[in-house]
Amino acid sequence: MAMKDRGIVVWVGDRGRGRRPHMARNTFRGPLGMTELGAIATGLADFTKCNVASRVLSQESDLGDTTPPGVGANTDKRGVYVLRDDDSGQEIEVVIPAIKDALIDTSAPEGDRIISADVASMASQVATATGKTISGIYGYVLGLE
Amino acid sequence: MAKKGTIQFLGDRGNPSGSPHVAKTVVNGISDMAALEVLAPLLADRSDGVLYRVSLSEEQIDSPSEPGTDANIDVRGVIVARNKDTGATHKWEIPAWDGTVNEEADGDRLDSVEIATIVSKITTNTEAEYEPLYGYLKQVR
Repeated sequence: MAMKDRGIVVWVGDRGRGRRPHMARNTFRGPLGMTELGAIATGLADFTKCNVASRVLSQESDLGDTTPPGVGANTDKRGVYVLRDDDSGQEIEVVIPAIKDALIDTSAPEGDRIISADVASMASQVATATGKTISGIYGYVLGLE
Repeated sequence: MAKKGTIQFLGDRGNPSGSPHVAKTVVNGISDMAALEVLAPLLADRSDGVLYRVSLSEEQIDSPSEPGTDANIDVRGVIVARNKDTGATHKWEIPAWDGTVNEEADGDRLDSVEIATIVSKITTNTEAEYEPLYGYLKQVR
């Protein structure tokens, strides 16, 4: 882990009404690992009436390319890929901001679609990254009428 | 453990000469950081935005997950410490504070020994070295 990584301890308490839970959190920079984050949570638990709900460890990687965006990179124009996890049956949405025009099929009368070959390609790529069986269902475009 | 990958894109909101805008795409169930770093450029190929940053977070659910008794999170113990390497001041607000509170003329203070204990625990388990400065009680709302 590095200093820009974060560890978050999520506490569960209430806001003066015991029957209605409410979450609070503490963030720590540069945690050494999930075990160490647990040690912090245990140590802090001696000083709070809350219980620990969960711990989150977040790694961050800058990818180096911070070139200012060019004309046309409007993040309000989004391609929404709707996929399905074939094991759980759950739908998954992957949203691509500033979707490229070349991926949009404008011929459908009911609205702009993502071309189906690219939806299938997206499903394959997400399957590889997650180790799950993913199917592409459809894709559409949001924003910028 | 549930793992969530977040991919950030740098674009604008139709005004290229204005402030850049960061948009995020979240994909759940990513295997690890290496898999995320492979996936991110593939997604970026579909966007006019620029690939900016990726982050992977994993969540460990702890138990019990019901609220503690009298755990009013609006009563907070605020711990202030300094990073000895950078000199930056850090603040942690511990909800539903259950440590010692010293009532002083200028406000409610936390016990200095307890502050040192907490800061020591954070120092041991992070890459930073902190030294305790002070602590006080804060009532939100």
